[in-house]
Formats: sequence, structure tokens, C-alpha cells
Amino acid sequence: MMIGIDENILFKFITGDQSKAFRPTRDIIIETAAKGEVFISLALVLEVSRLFQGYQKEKVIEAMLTMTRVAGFSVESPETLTDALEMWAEMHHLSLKDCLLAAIAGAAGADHYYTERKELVKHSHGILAPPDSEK
Amino acid sequence: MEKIIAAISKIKGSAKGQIAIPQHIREEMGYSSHAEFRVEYRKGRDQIILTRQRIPAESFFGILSEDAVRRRARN
Repeated sequence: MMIGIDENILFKFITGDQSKAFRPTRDIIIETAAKGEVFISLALVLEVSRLFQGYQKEKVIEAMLTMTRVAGFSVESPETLTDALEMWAEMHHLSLKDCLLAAIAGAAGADHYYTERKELVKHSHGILAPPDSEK
Repeated sequence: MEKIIAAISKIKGSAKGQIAIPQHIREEMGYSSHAEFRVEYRKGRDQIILTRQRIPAESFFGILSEDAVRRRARN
């Protein structure tokens, strides 16, 4: 069996919500991961990342990278997520969304990713290019 | 996922007992530089077996709890 979860559930799971109300949900996730799959889409990762505002970015990145290694967690395109997280780790003023969009484009085969976000433009990661290049 | 690499002579060893896994093999397995592998060396067969390290969901629960973050900061 595969289950899907929303960003609030994933957030509570990652932050270890100890409330009585969350306990059954936590158990369902752990049991399903042991016997089936818990689907984690890139959109879900994006949504949950918004809930981590105020958390240390390095810790969030570490947790997300660890998530790709959880037995029974079926992460959509773990390579793309890892690329995005690595990019995000090097960027100081960008959100995970910016990095994820670039990584998704790269994974889909885009040779360049055009953006007006200056930090992305300056970044040397493979597909990123300034808006006025190669015109 | 498990992958057997036969040509171990092409993989360089290091003093720390780690091995550098060629990028194309990592990509073939679908994981980037952050991936961790369990490495087994089959001596008589000239083989190295890579297995992706997995962690149980219960260990992932609370990985970013305040306590866990504090514990990691201390270490």
C-alpha cells in the first residue's frame, strides 16, 4: 500500500510532534513505511520547506537529504531534490523553490535555466544562465 | 538497491578505508554525492558490492525536533 501525506503531517513527523492527537498518524506513517510506501512529492517538499522558516537552513537541508534515504519513503525524483538542496546550500538569499525549479528544469533536459534572480544567474551550476545570454 | 562492481581495480582506495565511487556509477544508481553506501568487498571474486544505506522511518521521526537539533549541536 502507498499513502500520501500533506505538508502539515510531514512537518509534524520531521519535528517529532509528541501530541496525543498526532500519535495515530505517526504510527500509520511508520507502519506504512515498513510494509509499503509513503509518497513524498517534490511539491510536498516545497510546501513543507515553507513551514521551516526560522529553522537553521543547514539542519533543514540535512533532514531533507536524510529523507531520501528513509526506508519506505518514496521520494519523487530524489536526484533532482538532492541537486536542488545542494544548490540551496550554496545560495544565501534564495528559497528552496528557486533552486528546485532550476533543478527540475535541468532534470527534464533543459540546457539553461533563465531567471532574473541575480544569485541564481551568478551561480555556476550547470544549467543556470543569465536572461540575456545566448540571444 | 544493490549493485555489483566487478572491476575494483578501477576504484581508488584511500588511507581512511573509504573508496571513491565513480560518478557514473553513482548516477546509474540514481544518487548524487550525498548518497551513502554500504560497501562490501568480496575478496576472492574481485567484486565490490554497493548497497544504498537506508534508515527506518522511526529514526527519521523527530529528526528536527528541538531536542535532536540541540543534541547534534552539542556533538
